[in-house]
Amino acid sequence: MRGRLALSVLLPFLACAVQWLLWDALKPYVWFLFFPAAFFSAWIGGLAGGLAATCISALLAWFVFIPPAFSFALDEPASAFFLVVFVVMGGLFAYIFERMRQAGRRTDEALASTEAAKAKISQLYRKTLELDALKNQFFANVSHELRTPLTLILAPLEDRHRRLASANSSAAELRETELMLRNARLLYRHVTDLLDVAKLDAGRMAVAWAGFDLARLARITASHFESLAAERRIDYRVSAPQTLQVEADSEKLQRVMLNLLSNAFKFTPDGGAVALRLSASDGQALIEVEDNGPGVAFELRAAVFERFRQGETGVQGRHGGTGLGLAIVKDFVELHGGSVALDAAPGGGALFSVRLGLAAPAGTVLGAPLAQDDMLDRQSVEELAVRAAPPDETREADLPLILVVEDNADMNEFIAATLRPYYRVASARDGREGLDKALALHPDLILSDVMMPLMGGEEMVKALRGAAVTRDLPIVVLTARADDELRMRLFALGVQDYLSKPFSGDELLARIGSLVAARRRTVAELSRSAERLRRLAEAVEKIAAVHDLPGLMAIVRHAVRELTGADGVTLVLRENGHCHYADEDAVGPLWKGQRFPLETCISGWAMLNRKAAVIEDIYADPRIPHAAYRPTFVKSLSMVPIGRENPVGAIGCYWAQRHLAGAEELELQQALADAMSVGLANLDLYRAMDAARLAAEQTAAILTEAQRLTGIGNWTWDIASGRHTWSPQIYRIYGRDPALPAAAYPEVSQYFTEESWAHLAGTVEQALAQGLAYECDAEVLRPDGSRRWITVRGEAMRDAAGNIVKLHGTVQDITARKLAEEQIRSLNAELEQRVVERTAELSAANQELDSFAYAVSHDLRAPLRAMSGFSRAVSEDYGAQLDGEAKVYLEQIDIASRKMGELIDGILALSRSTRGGLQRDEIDISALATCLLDELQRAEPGRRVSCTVQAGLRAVGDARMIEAVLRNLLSNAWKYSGKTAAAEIRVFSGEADGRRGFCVADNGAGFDMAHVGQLFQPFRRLHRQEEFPGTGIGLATVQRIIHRHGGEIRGEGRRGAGAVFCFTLPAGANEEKP
Amino acid sequence: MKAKSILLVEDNPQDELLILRALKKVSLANEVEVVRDGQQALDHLFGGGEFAARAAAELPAVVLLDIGLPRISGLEVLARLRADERTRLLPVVILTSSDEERDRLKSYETGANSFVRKPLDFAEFAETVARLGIYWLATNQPPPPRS
Repeated sequence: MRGRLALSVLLPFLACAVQWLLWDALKPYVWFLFFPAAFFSAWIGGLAGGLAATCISALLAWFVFIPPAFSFALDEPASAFFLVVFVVMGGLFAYIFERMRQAGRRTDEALASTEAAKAKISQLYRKTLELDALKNQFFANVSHELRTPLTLILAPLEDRHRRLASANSSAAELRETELMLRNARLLYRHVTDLLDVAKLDAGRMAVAWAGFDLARLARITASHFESLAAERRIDYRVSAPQTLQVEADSEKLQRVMLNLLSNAFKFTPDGGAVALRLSASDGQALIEVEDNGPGVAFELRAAVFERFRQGETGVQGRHGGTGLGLAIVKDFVELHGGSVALDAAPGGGALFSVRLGLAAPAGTVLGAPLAQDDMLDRQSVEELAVRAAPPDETREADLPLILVVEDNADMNEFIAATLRPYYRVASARDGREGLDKALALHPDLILSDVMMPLMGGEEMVKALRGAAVTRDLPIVVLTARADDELRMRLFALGVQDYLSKPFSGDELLARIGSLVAARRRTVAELSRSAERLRRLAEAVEKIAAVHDLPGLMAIVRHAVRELTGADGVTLVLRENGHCHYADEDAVGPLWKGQRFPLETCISGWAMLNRKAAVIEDIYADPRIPHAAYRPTFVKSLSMVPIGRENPVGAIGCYWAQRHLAGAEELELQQALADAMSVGLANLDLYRAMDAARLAAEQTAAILTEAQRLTGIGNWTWDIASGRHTWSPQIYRIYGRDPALPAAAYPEVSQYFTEESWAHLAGTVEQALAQGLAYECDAEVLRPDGSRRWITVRGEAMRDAAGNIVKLHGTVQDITARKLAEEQIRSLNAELEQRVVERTAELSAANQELDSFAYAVSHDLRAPLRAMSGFSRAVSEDYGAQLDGEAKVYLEQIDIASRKMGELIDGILALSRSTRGGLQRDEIDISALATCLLDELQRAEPGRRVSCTVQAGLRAVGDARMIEAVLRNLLSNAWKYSGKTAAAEIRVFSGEADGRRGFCVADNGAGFDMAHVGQLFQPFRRLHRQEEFPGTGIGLATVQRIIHRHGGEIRGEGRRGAGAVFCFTLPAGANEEKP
Repeated sequence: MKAKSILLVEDNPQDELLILRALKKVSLANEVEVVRDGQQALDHLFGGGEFAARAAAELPAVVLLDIGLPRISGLEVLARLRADERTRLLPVVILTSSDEERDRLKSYETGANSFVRKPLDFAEFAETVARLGIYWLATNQPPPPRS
């Protein structure tokens, strides 16, 4: 390799040297010799050599030959282009030659390995031929060697079977013998088949040519299947000519027919059809076997004749077999120079046709026909015979039932026989049947094969575990395979155990025995629990339904005793700190009807501690009052509280023998206690419901009565259905027959006067439109013509969407009220009339009083004036002629006249103070008082009186009258302080009657409080006229005015120590009318 | 021009006497004519009834008119005087013992020129009347006669 590379690198230099020598002739072809150099370098040196040569060539050409010579400069740009082209071409050569070299290498390698393989194959072929020969030899030897002992087994067995069948021996023994016989024959058949195949392969199978009647042979062979066909209700037809003489090997042709028929019966379902037809034509015999089974798919029709092939690949055939039957048919027929073909039968099944020459090949020496081997006949039929599974015994029904699922009938029978003395046995031939039987029979255990037709053991186990009834069913799997993976899979599916074939009967029994016993225990336990639960459920159901305490207690005490198996049961109720042993159910008397304090008995302990007490030996437990237990049978007890949160009682179980209550018993006891707690709560509820119902009934009765008494009835109007409902009172109000339905909305108008209806309908329509509550009065016109007044009230009810769905309300009979109102109205009118009359009378009286006062003021004064005037006139005109006494008399007349004038003025003032309306004026009391005092001072300038008026006194009242009040009070004060040395008058804000008011005080003569009652009476005076002159009307007038304002006036005084008068003027008292 | 005169309408003879006495004291008694009720007063002024012979033009300088009069009250008389064109401007003084406000108000509303209360005190009364006479006859200028 290295040499090639060196050569390829050297070539460009060689090319360069030669080109230099020949340059004159070659000029200007710079690349003349470099192309071949690069090409051959690549051919020699491959990729590396080619590339190296290319680069060297390019550099040499460039340096030496491309002008300017001996320089890496370039005169022409085109030279650069050729340079690049050269390098690329060189690279290409290198690459192509490299690929070519590699391909060549691979071809060499492949050739070498092919040679090796060829040698190996030849060797193997030789070896295989040897092995085949060996195998054939082995088969032949084995078969031969096996046939001998088998024959020796079969002969005595058949002997024995015959003996047993004729003698009345036990069925089991006969069955066993048949079993042995059958299996020996099967073995014989397999061995024969194998031997035949071996002979065929070895080419040592000779045809024993002989002349015989093929028709007879066919009929004999076919007859073996008749009983089988009848059993399986198969329509079996055989048609053959009377005789058909052929030259052939009768034994082999019998085998051919036997195998074909056997095959047809295998694949034909019960109730199907099988036909054997024999015919001859054109020197050939034609044997046809037709069935209506599943047939054979076209692509498999050649394969069925191959050895060890069975029609249904993948799935195990319904029937076992070596898979040699059809192969032998083909081989035997071909030995005779005939042919066999498989076609689809007209009915869909398979149609086998065998064609044979009627005569033996020319020159053949015919021998005597061989004796028929009926062993094979029998075996073939036996193999197909339907052996009904032994009936599943019903005897000894309590024995555990074991389901054996095994497709091999003999193995199935063997297992069944092994188990039968100890168990009931049911059999199934495949997984499908096993599954059906397991679901139908509920066996205690399933013993199953793995490899089975239709449904394998694995699939069946999966299905069984998926079904509720068989989920926990123990399954033991029989497996011939020492396949750990399979076992793991089976265990994962829930298989309990497995047995490897072969196994002994003892092992089988031992394995199954323990599993079945465990299963039985579990089932028994479960069913006992289930029974208890069922009873518990029953008790709870009854408790829920009971309505009285004695009934409840009877159910509970019975259930507790039954479920716990206790010798005695007590029901204890908690009553005011005591345990009341309310009920019991026991073998001997306990404490029924007695009461104990909570603290002293075990039921109390259970209630107080809210937990169960379980006591095995009551006399060893300090919680037990032993004295109470001595007279009883009790040795052990368990006590549970009724109600877990707040126990209302307890349930006790008692045993006469020492017994520690188990968890399950206690659970049941507690469950019943809980149920009783619910039952007691229910009783309360029932009582409350009864009470509520009673109350509701009473309420309803009261309501009805109240409606009757108040005359109120209620109604509803469902708008959607248009249904009206009335309470009975409405019927009474409207005078409607109670048997009729309530009158619907427009119809009800007949009960109203026209005017009322118009008003009512309008109101109702408005309520319907707006959903407002309404109330209106209406006059009812009853059918009998009487009239009532009612008040109708109603309101709308809305649904969730706000639509008005219903009106409801009341109708109230208000006739009595209307009448009363009418009466009141007329009475009021009368009263008003009277008031008017009285007012008129009063006005007249006032008028009169006015006239009187007017007359007084006017008419009384004139004579007074005359008296006073003329006495003066006499005194003035005739004074000189009168003596002193006459003058005194005249003076007295004058004084009296003046006095009377004052009286008249006073009476007028008093009279006026009660007349006329009160004005409502803002009055400045302070200013008014000051003004009045100034007036008084001016009238008597000589007097010195100290006057104090509090500033800011204000009041609301009739200004003219209040002035009169103040004038009177101040002039009194002025007058009565007239004889006091340092006279004082004060006006101030004070209190009268507990309210704010105004006071006028002086330090004058005062008065005796003993006479205070006369102070405000008209014409009553507390002072003599000569002491203090006056009319005695002033204070009466003051009081009248203050009272008219709604105020009060009080006077206080002391003889010789002054007086104080205080009055109030309430602001709101001004509306008084005359 | 005829002498000025006073027409006194007074039904109470005692008051009449006292009034006349007071007027005499100030020398006005001769100019006083006295009628004793409302009807008489109207007849006197309008020349009706017993005064039918008199000339209607001779009106007094002032009429002293009491309110409480028989037949036609003083206020009624006043109203009629004010309603008549001839006596519409005739000075009328109400001289009464009433001190009722309503009388006073009514009098002014009806067109009284003055309202004088007869004092109870004799001296006061005499002085008041004397002043009235002097004022209305001497001081006051009557409205111009109608042309």
